[in-house]
Amino acid sequence: MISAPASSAAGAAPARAIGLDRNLEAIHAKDRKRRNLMENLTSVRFLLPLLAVYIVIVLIPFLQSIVFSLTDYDGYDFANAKFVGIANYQAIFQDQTLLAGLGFTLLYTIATTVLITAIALPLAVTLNRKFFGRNFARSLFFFFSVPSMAVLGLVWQYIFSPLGTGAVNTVLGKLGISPVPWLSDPTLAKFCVIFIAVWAQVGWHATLYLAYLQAIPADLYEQASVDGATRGQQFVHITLPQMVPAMGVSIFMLLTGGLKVYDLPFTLTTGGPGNATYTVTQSIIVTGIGSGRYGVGSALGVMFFLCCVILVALQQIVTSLIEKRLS
Amino acid sequence: MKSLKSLIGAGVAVAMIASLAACGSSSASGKTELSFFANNTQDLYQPIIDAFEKKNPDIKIKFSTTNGAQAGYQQTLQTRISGGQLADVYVAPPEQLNDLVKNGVAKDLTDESFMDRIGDTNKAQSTIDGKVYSMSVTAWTNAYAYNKDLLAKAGYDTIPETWDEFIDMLKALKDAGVDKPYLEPKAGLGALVEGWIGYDSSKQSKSIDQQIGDGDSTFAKSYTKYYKEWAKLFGAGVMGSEVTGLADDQVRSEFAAGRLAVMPSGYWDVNTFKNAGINFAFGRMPMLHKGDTPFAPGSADSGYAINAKIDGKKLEAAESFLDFLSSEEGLKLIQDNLGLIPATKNYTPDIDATFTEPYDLYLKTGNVYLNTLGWPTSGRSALRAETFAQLQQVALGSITPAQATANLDTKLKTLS
Amino acid sequence: MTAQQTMQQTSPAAPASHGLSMSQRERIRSAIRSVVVIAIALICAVPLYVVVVNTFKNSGDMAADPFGLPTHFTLENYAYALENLPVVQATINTLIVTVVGVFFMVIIGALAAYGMVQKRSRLTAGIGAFLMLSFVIPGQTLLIPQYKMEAQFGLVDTLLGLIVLYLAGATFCYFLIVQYMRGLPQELFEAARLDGAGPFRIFWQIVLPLIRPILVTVVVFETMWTWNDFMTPNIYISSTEKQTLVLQVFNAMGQFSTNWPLFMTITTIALIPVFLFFIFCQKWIVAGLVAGSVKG
Repeated sequence: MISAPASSAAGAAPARAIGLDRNLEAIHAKDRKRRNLMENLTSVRFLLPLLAVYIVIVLIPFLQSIVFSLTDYDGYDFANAKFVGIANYQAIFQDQTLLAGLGFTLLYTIATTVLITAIALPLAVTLNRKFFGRNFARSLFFFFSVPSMAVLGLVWQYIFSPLGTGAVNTVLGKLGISPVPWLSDPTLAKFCVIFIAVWAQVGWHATLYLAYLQAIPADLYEQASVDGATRGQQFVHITLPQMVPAMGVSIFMLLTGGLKVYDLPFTLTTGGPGNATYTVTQSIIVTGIGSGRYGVGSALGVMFFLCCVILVALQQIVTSLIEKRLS
Repeated sequence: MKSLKSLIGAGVAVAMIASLAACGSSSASGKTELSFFANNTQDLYQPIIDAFEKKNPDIKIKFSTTNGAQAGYQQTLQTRISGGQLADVYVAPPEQLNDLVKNGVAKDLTDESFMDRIGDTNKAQSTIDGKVYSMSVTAWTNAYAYNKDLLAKAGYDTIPETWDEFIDMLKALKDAGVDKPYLEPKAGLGALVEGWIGYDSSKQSKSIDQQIGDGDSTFAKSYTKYYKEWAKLFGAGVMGSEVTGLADDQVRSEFAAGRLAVMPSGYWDVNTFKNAGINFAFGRMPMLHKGDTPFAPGSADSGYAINAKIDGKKLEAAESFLDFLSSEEGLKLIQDNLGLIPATKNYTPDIDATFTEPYDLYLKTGNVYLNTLGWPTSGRSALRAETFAQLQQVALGSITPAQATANLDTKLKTLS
Repeated sequence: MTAQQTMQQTSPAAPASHGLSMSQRERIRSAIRSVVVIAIALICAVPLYVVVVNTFKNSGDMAADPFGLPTHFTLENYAYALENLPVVQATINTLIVTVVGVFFMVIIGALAAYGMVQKRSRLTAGIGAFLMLSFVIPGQTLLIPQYKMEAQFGLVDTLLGLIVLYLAGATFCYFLIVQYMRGLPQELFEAARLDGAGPFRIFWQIVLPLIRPILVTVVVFETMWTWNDFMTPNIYISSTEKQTLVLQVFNAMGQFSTNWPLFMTITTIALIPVFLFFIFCQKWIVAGLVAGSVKG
C-alpha cells in the first residue's frame, strides 16, 4: 500500500509518465544501449564539479597524510622528515590512553545514535502537527544548540558543576539532596557528555526528519483513517516505513559524527576525570599533531579511517537490507 | 538553463568581488612593512605598536594573532611554518624553540645589543647549544591567592611556610565553617609539586626532570614521594574528588565569589579579583620542610624571535622592534597592556601591592621551575596532559601515587 | 483546497466514538501538545538563556551568580563590543564567505545528487561509495596538507581561500540531497525528460522546487556551520581586516583573564543574523514539496 507514491496531490505528472513509459518499451534494444551510455555521460557530467572539489580538497590532502604517517614528520618542513616505515603504527598500539579513548568513543557513538533517533523522530512528528506556538517551538529546538561549543561548554560546566553552587546541585540542594559529583565521577561524566550531545543535536535531526515528513503523500493517512487506523497504527504502518530512508541518513551522520567527536568532550571535561571521556580524535590531536609528532598523528588518523570505513559499511548494508524488506 | 547560467554568473561575480576585497590592502608608500605574529589580542598590543610606529615613522607593523589558548597558538605557528607563511617577527613558545631552530626559522640573536638587557634565567631558557634564539622580556610565577577574611576566621593572616602547616590551616578553616578551603583546577592538579622538585633540583647538577628526560631516572623513582605528599589533601579531607571536574574558570569564580579560601593563581588574576571586591592577597606556595628555599612553578614567558629568512630593511626593522620591546618604554607598555611582569636588567617594574610577596620570593630570585622544560620536546604537552589525567585518578582514589608515576613512565616511553 | 493545505493535514483524527466530537478532541490534543512541547523547548533553551542574560552583567556579577537576572542591568558590554571591535568589517567578511560558500556548496552538491539519481549504474554506485569516504576522514590530519596547498596557490589569508575550503561541505549537501531525491517519485523526472526538456532545465525547473524542503534544511545547516566556523579562519586568516565574526568573538577573550560577559555579548551579536535567517527559512522547510511539484 505504501509503494504506490502518487495519486491526488502529486498525481498529474506521473500519470502522464506511466502512459509514456509503455511506449518506451517499444524502442529498439540498440537505441537503448546508446541511450544508456549517453545517460551515463550526462550523469557523470553533473557529478564532475563535486568530484573535482572532493579530490582536490579532501582526497589529495588525505593521501599526503598517509605519506606523512610513514615518516617522522614534525609538522614544520617536510624536507627534514625521514622515512620510518610502520614505526608510527606500532607506537599507536602501545598507548593505553588510546584504548580508553576507543572505548568511550564507541559508547558515545552508539548511545547518541540510539537516543537521538529515538527522540528526534517522535519530536518531528509532533512538530509537524498543528498546535499553538508550533513555529516558536520549532525554532527553539533547532536554535538552542547553535552557539559555538566553546560558549555552551562553559555554560554546561556551570550547570553540571560538582560543587554545591552548580545549577543542578543548587536545585537538588533545595530539595534536600546533597551535591552530585556530575563531572567529577567517571560514570556520571560519561552520562553528562552524552546527555549534552543528545541535547545539542536532537533539534537538527528533528528538522531533518521534518523535511522528509513533507514527502509523505497525505492521502496515505487519509486512506488509513478511512480504514479506521488509530494514530499509533498510522505512525507504525505509514510514518515509520516512509521514514526509513531519512533514518538511514540521520543514523549515518550520527555514526560518522560520533566517531569523530572532539569538541564537546574536550571543552566540557578535557577527557577526564582520568581518561573517562577521552576520545580517539583527542588522541590524534594531543599525542600526535599537538605534540609536533605529525607522523604519529597521521598514522592514528589512517587507522581510525579504516575502522570507520568498516563500521559505516556495516551500517549501510543493514540499512539497505531493511529498506529492501520494506519496499 | 538560462537562469542557471545567470545565477552561476552572479555567484562567480560575488566570488570575484570577495577575492578583490581580500586583495584590497597592499603595502603603501615606501614604508617597510613588518609582519608580527603574536599570542595575544590586537587591542592589547595596539598601544605598544602605536608607540613603536610613532618612534619609527618609516616602519609599519602588520599585526596578526590567533585564538588566546596557548596550544592553539603553537598549532597555528606550526601550520604557518609548514606552508612557508611565517611572519617576520613572532612569539616563540619555549616548548617549540628546539623545533624552530631545527627548521631554521629562528634567527640567532646572541650578538644583538639589546640582548644585554635580558635577565640570565630568561636568556638560559632561550639558549640552544650556546646560542640565544629568542628575546624573552617577561616571566611568570604561580602563587597562592588567599581570601584574608576567610583566613582570619581560623586565626591566620598569611600562608604558612610548610606543607603540613598548610594542611593544618585548611583543616582549621574547615572547622571554622569554610566549606571549600582549597581547590585546584582539574588541569592544574598538583602544580605546586613543581616548586618542591625545583628546590630539590637546585641542589643537583642536573634538574630532576632533565634526568627523567635523559633516561637517568624515572617518574616512579623521582616523583612518587611528591605525589604522595600532595595526596595528603584528600586523606585530610580538605580537598575532595570534585576537583577532577572543575575547570580553571570555575575555581576562579568560587574565589571571586568569596566562597573559596585559597587557590593556585598568578599575576594575571589580579584585576579579576580586584573587580570582584574581595579582601585578598597573593602568598607563598608552602615547601615540604622548614628552611627549604621557596620555589614555585614558573618560567620565562615566550620570547620574541626574528624569522631567519628575512634580510635588508626588513631585518633592520625587526631588530629595532625588538630593541623597542626591551627598552624601558616598551617594557612599561608590555606590563601595563599585556599584564606580564618584566624580568630584565634595565627596568624595575612597579608590582601591584597584593603581589609583592611572590614577586620578591620567586621572580626577583629566579627561583621558579617548570617540569616540562626537562622533558623531550616532542610530546611535552601530551605528557603534561597525562600528569593531570593521572592525578585526577589519584584524586578519585582509583589509583595510588605510585601507580600514577609508573603510568607516566609508560606514557613517556610511547612518546619518545 | 491547495495542495499545500492538503499536505499539512497529515493527521485526521480517528473516528469519533467516545462522545466528544472530532474537532473538540483535536482542540484538546492541540492544547496539550502546545503546553508539553513548549515547556520542553523552554527547558532545553536554558543554556541559551544563560548566554543572553549574562550579556547584561559585568564579570563580577556573573561570577557571583551566572544564572540569575542581572542585579545591575548594563548595556556596557554591547557598547564596548560595538565601539572597540571592527564588527562591521567582520560582518561583511563573514557575509561574503557564507553567502558565496554556501551557494556553491549547495549547487555543487545538488547537481551531483541529480546526476546520481538520473542513472543508476555501476559507475555511479562506485562514485557514490567513493564520495562517502569523506565522512570518515578525520579532518585534523588534513590540516597541514590543506594549508600547504592553499599556500602554494596564494590563497592563504584571503576570503577566497576560506570559501575554497568550505566547498568540501558540498559532499555533505550531496549526501543529504541524493537520499532525499531517491525517495521522490522518479516518474516526475521521466515525464519532463520525455517532454523534451534538457537535463539542466529539468534540474532547474523541476528538481530544485521538488527538493525544496531538504534544500532549505541543507542551506540552513551549512549557513550555521560556515557562519560559526572558528578553526579554519583562525589558522588561515592573519590580517585583521579579513577576520570573520567568530574570530572577533574569540579574540575578545584575552590570553589569561577571560571576560566571559563580553565573550557572550559578541557571541550573541554574531548570532543575531543567523537567527533572523533561520526564522526566515523555517517556513520553507515545511512548506515545500507539493506546491512545487504542481508548479513544475
